[in-house]
Amino acid sequence: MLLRWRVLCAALIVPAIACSGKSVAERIAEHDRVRVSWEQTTRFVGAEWADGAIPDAYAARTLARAGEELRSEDQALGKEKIPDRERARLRESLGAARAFADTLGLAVRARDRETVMRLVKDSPRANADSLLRQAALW
Amino acid sequence: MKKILEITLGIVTSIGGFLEVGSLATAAQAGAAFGFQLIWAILLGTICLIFLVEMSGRLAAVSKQTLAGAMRDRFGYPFFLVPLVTMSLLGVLVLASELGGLSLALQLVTGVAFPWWAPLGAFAAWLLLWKGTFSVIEKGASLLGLITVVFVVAAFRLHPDWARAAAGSFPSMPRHEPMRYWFIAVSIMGASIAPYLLYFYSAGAVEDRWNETDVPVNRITATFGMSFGGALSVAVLIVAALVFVPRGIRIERFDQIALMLTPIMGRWGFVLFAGALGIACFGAMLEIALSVAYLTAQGFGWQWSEDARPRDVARFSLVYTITLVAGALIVVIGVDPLAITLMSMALTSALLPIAIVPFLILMNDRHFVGQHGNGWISNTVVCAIVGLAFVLAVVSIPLELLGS
Repeated sequence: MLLRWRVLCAALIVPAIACSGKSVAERIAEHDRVRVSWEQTTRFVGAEWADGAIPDAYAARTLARAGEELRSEDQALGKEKIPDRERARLRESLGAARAFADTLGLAVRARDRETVMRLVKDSPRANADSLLRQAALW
Repeated sequence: MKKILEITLGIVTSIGGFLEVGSLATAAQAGAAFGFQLIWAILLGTICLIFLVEMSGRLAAVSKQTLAGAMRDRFGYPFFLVPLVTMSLLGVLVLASELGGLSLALQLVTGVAFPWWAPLGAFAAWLLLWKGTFSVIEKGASLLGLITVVFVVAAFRLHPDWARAAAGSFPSMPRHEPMRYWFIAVSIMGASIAPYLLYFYSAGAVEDRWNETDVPVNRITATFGMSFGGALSVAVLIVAALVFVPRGIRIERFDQIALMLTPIMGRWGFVLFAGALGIACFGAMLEIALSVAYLTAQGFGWQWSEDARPRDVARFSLVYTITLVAGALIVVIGVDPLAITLMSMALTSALLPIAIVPFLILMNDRHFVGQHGNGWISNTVVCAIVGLAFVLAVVSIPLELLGS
C-alpha cells in the first residue's frame, strides 16, 4: 500500500519537476517583475507618505526593505546563467531602482515632503497597460 | 425569537471570525499576482468549509461527542495518534503565522520590530485563555473581527468589473508563472479549509450543550456565516487586484500588503488594515491554541473545558500554554511571517486527508450520527475538494521549495 502511494507521488512530482525548468526568457522576465514590483512599491510608499496616509516609521522601514530586496536580487542575478548583455541591462535597472529607494528613504527620514513628492513625480510609473498585457489578467 | 437571535449571532460571529492571516495573505497575493483569476480557489475552499463545519456541528449535536473524542472512540488510540501529532504540529505552525500577523499589525502601528511583539502577543492570548470563558473568546474576538468588513467596503468603492470577477469564479489555466499560480491556489484552499476550526467548532457545540434540535440552526449558521466569510476573502482579493496589479506590485512581504487600503481610505485605511489584521490574527490564535488543547485533551480523555478553572483542567491548560510558547519561539527567531503563512497553508492542504477522511467515515457511521448521517452530496463534495487540494499540494509544494 505504502509502495503504491510512493509510486503515485513520484508519478505526480517527477514530470512536474521535469516541466518546471524555466527558460532564459522566463528567468529574465522574472527578474524584471521583481525589480518593477519593488520599484513601484517604493513609488507607492513615497506617494502615500507624502499624502500623510502612512506613518514615518512604516515608510522608512518599507523603503529600507525595498533597498535590501533589490540588493539581494542583484546578488541573485550574479549567479544566474543568462546572456551578459541582459545581465548588464538588468543590473543597470536594478541599480537605478535601488538608488531611488535609498534616496527616497533618506528624504523620508529627513521628513522632507517636498523632495519626496518631487522624486515620486519624476519617477517612472509602472506601464500598467504592458504589465496587464504581460500578465494577461483581465 | 430566541432561535432567530441565536442564528444571527452565529452568522455574525462566523463572519467576524472568518478572516485570519492565512486567508488575508493568500487572497492578497493571489489578487496582486493573478488579478481575479483565483477567485475560484476561495469559492471551492469556502464550499468545502461550509460542509465540514456543518458536519462537525451535527456530529456534536447528535452524538454529544467532540470530533476528537469520536475519532478516538471509532478508530482507537494508535490510529488517533496520527491526526493528533500531525494536527498539533500543524497547529503550532499556523499559530506562529497568526502571531506573526498580530506582531506585524503592532509593528505597523508602533514602528517597533515585529519579533519584539511576539512574546507579548502570546502572553495576552494566554492570559485571555486562562481568565476568559468560551463565550467571551468565541463571541468577543469574532464580534471585534467584524472590522474586516472594511475590505468589502473597499472593494465596492473601487468599482470592480463584476463580470470579470464572476469569470474568475471558474477555474482557468494560468497564463504566466504556473507553479506560483498552483501554489497560491493550494495555499488559499489550505487557508479556507482549516482543520483546527472543526475541532474548535465541535468542542464549542459540546461546551454550549447542543442537541438534535440545534441541527437546523447549525446548518443555517454554517451556510450563511461561512458564505459571508468567504465573501470577505474574495473582497480582499478584489482590492489587492485593483490596487496592486495596475502598479505592477507583487506581494513578496507583509509590508506591501499594508498599503492595500490607503488609496481608498487614506490614513484611516492604514489604521483599519492594521486593526483588521491584528484583531483577526488574535482571534485565530485563541482558536488555534484552544483547538490543539481540545484535540489533545479530548483524544486522551482528560478533563477539558474553557469554562472550567485552569487548575481543574490542568493538562488541558498546559497544552494551550505549550502551544502558545512554541508558536512564539518560531516568530521570535525572526522567520519571515509571510513565508511561514504560505507554507503552513499549503501544508494544511497536503495534510487535509489525515483529518478529513476519518471525519467522513465518522459522519457515515450510524452508531455516531444515527439518522443524521451524511448524504451523497456532502460526501462527494468534500472528497472531491479535499482530493483536489491534496493532489495540487503534493505537486506544488516541492516545486515551490525547489523554485525558492
